[in-house]
Amino acid sequence: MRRLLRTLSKTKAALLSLVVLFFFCIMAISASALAPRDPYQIALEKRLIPPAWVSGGTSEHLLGTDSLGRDILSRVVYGARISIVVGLSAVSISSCLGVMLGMVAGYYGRGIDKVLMRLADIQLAFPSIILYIAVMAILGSGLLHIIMVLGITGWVAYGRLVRGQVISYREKEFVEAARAMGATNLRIMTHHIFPNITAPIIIIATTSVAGNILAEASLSFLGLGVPPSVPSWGSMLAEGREYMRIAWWLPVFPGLAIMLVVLAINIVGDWLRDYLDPRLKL
Amino acid sequence: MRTNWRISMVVLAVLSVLPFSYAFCSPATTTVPEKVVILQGIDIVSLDPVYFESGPGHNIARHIFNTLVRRNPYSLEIESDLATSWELIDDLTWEFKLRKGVVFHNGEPFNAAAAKFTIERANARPTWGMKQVALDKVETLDDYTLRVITKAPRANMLTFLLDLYLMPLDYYKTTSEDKMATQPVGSGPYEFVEWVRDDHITLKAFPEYWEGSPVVKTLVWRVVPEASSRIAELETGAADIIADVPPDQILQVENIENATLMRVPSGYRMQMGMRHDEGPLQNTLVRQAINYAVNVDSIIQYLMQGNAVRMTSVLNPPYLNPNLKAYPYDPDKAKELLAEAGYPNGFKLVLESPSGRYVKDVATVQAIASDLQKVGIDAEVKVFEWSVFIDMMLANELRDMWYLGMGPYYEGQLELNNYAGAYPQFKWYNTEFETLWDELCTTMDDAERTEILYKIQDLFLADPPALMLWKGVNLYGVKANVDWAINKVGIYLYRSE
Repeated sequence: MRRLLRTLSKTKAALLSLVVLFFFCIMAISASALAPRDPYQIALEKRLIPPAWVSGGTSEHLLGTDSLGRDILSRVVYGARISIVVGLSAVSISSCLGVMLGMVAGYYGRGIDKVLMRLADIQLAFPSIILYIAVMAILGSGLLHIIMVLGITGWVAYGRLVRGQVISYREKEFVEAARAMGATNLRIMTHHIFPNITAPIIIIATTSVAGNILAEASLSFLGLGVPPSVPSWGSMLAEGREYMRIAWWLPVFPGLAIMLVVLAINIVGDWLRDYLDPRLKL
Repeated sequence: MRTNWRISMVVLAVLSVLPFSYAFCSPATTTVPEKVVILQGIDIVSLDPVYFESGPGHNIARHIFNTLVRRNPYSLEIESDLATSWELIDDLTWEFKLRKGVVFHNGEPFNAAAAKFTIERANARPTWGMKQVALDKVETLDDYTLRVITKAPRANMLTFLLDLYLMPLDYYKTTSEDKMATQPVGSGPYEFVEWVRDDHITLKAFPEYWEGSPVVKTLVWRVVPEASSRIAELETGAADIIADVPPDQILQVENIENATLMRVPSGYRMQMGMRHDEGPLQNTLVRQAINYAVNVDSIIQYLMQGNAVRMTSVLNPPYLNPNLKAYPYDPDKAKELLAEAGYPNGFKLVLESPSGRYVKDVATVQAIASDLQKVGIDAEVKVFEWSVFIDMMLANELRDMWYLGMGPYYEGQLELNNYAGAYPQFKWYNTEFETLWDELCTTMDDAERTEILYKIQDLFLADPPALMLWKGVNLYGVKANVDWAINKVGIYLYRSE
């Protein structure tokens, strides 16, 4: 009975998180329709207007304006686009790369396995944020570069997991059977092993979306992300930090947006893990 | 703007009285701190005396080194430093009598040989203004008499010497470039102790300084890029002087007990430099259009909160032509000019901004970009760390427009030298200017020079080589017990016992 209650409450949180995520996705997709103003529109005479409910605020700018008079609500709405684009595309790149390399390493073993896993070890031993900074410093800032950096460096988590799974499936009877029937290695990997390991991949992918959103925010915060005019939650936060003491609304709203999305994704990821993990099923 | 000038006049008046008022304070009532901590937004690139390129760098250099002549920090008159007197022998020959009894921090004596070495070493550097001196040779008549001979007459010889930091001959002759960049030895009031890059530089009083050992025994120059952190440190007492208070946070500094806000007109000429040896910026009409398109007054009013003076000419007094009018804000006129120049649909431009070097640098460049977009120019903002930015400038890699403040020299020729090609990306491709410049370089008579400089200023408005913005007003937060005034040349804290 207690266990049931616990799962229920967890499901409630997951449900709420799904609603939040859905809401942010809608925001990202229809930003141009939802945002009340042009997020790039600079109007110096309207700078640092507080949110509507604070004295001095106007209903024209619900969440106030930033140091260049841009509408914060519109920028937060457009910021969702950057975050979600970065989160999803980096995950697609790193999961494809990781799954491929992990499968090759696990299935063929021997030399190629050793080389790939040592590569993964080296990368894991390196603090990821320093790696990002180094690569961004060489490539230069920009949205595409962020996606590439996060995408390419993110393969390790998938690679190691997939390798382990493949090793355990490699010797299973159904794989043996397929091999005996003359299936090629490629066919065995894609048609027989892969369908069995999708669940953990989906879980890792979900949680790393949150990680990537945070990484983009951190890089933009450090000034290595998107150009300063592009509304990104991280760069809004960085700019707002200068104004923390005189205009709290500058850092608070992008900060809240980051927190909500990352929290929601993590809760959903948690719930997915419970749901997909056969050992936790009663 | 007028009130600004009034404020600055009051500040100047106060500043010029301060050194005298100090004389009336008995040492018992003044508590002079043993150590003064100064926070600036950027670190220097090198401590090699011929490589100081930024205002914050010169602030530090002035405490470590002496020069032959210097500007009085209050009156801005050129006065003697290690040259006690000077004389123009003929149009090409300057003779300097040097101060006797001056020693460098490492014990080497200062003499004509050291001065000769310094001038020759600076002259060998490709980026330094010295190359415009057209130096022929330096002669030492005796230990304390120096002759500088130029290939062409140089009326503004003395201003070239203002940033020429004198070096001990033996040390700089025998030391590797790497060590020179990190271990400076000068003859100034403070000796170098340590430099932790991007963190701090520590200087200690030099007891044998020729003007007398300094009262404050230790100076610590710390790098704190974040303006709000600088203010917080002033509040907690960790800092005594902070540079570049953002105009938005003036109130915060004024509310700190035991601290005051100082507004000092800096003479820094803020502008968007333009590279016009390529692309649409080659066209005069385009450069005029850009000057019409940007609402500079609005940026001064809202972003700088009035703490800047609109620039009508690139020069500072005394050669500033007071009758010039800045470009009015007229986006329609800008569009017309762009269409006339053959760009009715605009074009792409990259705007480069250093980050953290100047008050509201990135925000300013974004505001400028937004104004340019309104007239159809597709302006993209790129932001660089100061050290990266300055490296790009020295390597001639800035393009198409970039935000930069040019330091004040209060002398027309030196203030124009970028446009004559001191840094190639600023070069102004205008034949009339080139003729006037050549004339200026060889004219010795001050009235004639003024006339030429007025002509150049007219030309500067007619065929603008840059987007002229404003002359800065430096905002400092200063603790009350630091009774030294921050002066017009920057931060200079020396006071003898």
